[in-house]
Amino acid sequence: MPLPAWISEAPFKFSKVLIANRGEIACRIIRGCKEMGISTVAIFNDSDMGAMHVDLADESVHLEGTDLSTTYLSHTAIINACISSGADALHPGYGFLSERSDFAELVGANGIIWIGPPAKAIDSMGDKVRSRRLMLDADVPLVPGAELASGNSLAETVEELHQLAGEIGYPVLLKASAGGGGKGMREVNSPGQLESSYLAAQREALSSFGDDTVYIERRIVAPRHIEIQLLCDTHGGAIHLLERECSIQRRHQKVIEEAPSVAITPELRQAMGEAAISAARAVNYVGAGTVEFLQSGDEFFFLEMNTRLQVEHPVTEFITGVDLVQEQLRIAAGLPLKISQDQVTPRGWAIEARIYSEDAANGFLPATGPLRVWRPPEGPGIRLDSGVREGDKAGIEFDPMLAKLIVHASDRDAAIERMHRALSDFIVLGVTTNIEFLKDVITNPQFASGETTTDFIEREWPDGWSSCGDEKVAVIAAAVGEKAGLHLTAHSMSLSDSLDPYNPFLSISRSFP
Amino acid sequence: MKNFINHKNDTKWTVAAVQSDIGYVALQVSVDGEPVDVEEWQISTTEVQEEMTINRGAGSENIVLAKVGDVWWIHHNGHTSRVSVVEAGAQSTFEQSGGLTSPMPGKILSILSSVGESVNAGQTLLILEAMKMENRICSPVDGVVTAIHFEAGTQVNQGAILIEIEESE
Repeated sequence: MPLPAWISEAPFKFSKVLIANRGEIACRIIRGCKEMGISTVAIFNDSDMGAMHVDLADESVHLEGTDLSTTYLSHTAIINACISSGADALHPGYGFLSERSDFAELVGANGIIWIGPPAKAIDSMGDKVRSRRLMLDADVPLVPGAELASGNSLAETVEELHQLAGEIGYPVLLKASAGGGGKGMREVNSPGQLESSYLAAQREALSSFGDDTVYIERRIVAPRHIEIQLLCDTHGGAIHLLERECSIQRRHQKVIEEAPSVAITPELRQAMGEAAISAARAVNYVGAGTVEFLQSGDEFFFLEMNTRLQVEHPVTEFITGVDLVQEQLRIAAGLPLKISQDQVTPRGWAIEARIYSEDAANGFLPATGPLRVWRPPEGPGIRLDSGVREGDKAGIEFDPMLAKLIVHASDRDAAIERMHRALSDFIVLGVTTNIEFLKDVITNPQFASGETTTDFIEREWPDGWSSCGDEKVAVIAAAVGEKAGLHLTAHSMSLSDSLDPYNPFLSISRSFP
Repeated sequence: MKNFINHKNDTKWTVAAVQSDIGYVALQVSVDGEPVDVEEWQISTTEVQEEMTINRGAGSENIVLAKVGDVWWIHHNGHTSRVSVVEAGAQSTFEQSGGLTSPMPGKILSILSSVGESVNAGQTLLILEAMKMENRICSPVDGVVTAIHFEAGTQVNQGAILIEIEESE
């Protein structure tokens, strides 16, 4: 098959991309590739038989097993999948192997194009100590902090912790050096909590990232989480695609993101954009990347650089009109950026809400179950990036994020109204989701007025959140459903039937919906 | 006449749903023994199996519902509720065991209480790891731990009874 025109004259040509990921981001990347005439290969393990990303891709390779380390995290298995399928490029998505420089190197060593930043840039930014030093040299502002010396006894480490925390000043944050996404992160308000929090952070760091090194830093009280999206090409071109605000977080994981941010003036935007580009240049960055800052007043501090596509990239795509996945492909092919900095202007307002299978009324514990009814909202300015369909299940094997709901409107108030409507229309039955909680966040007066600091959820719901549905209607509906026998047909089956992918009745009911 | 438990507030309901020529009506409704008047309400099933309409005197409202196991999931006016059907003679697991069940499948990372220990409501009893996150399992009541059924490192299923607590008077 001839190459699509856009890549036929490019320095680095490829025609088939293997997506080393799953769920919504694999689906997102497959769609981007399709629109550029590039074939796609999905990988899947035993838990993902019949998953949406497998159906969407042109081809798929089964990685046997359910253990992540032998499937989605296995360097060898994924390289072999590239070779057997003839994929000449690889997109890592986010999470999994996206920020593993040794994997990026291995991909390149096998003659496969890595759709991501150079291994060296990943390494420099992934190592918090090294990145801090580089940022200091590049004049990027930093939060006070330090990495704990490795190889010490627990007693020595605890002593060091106390000393460092004293110097930095409470409250402090303990986090996995290798980490991200809130895993392995602990807040410590007094010396008494240091040791137990350190041990918990170390355990989560080890189980999530295979590295138990812990980093300590000052917690900036009530800051905003502002990040700058970057695109850097192989010709030295670098632009920023404005900011995103991701302050609404629970357990240090983002829940609602928006672009632009109410807190960012044009002057601050320019200063942060320039700082972000300096940060990227300091590590010779190439590709799409994000520099995260904590912002408070007119101060901002470098937090980290995410050397990959971010979960919340769609809000940037909405307000800039740039397709970040397609830009990643163009950059990987060695093409120069299509647009210049002065062509980047914000259009309207975009908000993303992450749909998690979790119980917001019960400490945000992950929930599992079948997606018996899955009816996402529709209409103007609504985008759903999902990795699941009706009939799939929310299992324990993977992250509880089911989908991302993104809306775009002319201004922030209109975007809030649109998100409120979209969340109200979103119906999921069979597994508990955070949809109602998201609706309460989006309609909260403090959110509407832009008081979106990272402690928003704890501040607004100090005793936890609970829903306020009409429980009388629910019970009467259940009683009528039971009496009318609505559950006694082929459509509603027992839980075990619906989870069996080989159940013939399941196939039949899908063929004739 | 059937019994139901509303998961949101653990209220116990009794409802007799009756089919009439105008659809369904609910009779003899009570919550925790207190009668509830809903006799003006009319409910109709629709051609779509997961949908029904309810008329409470102010026009027709849509309801989407589905049953998974013993639980009805009901979506109405932007809210999702869960209602269990209680079969005759059955008791809820909490009353039956006085135990704390696992809210999800996962691995017990560590146990922070011991048999015979007095615990307070809200105190962390054990840490369960699921989806790569550590989740604290806390005591719902003040009481004394009477049994711990698993050891650290064990995989547990959703609904497994982890710890039993005798509530203090």
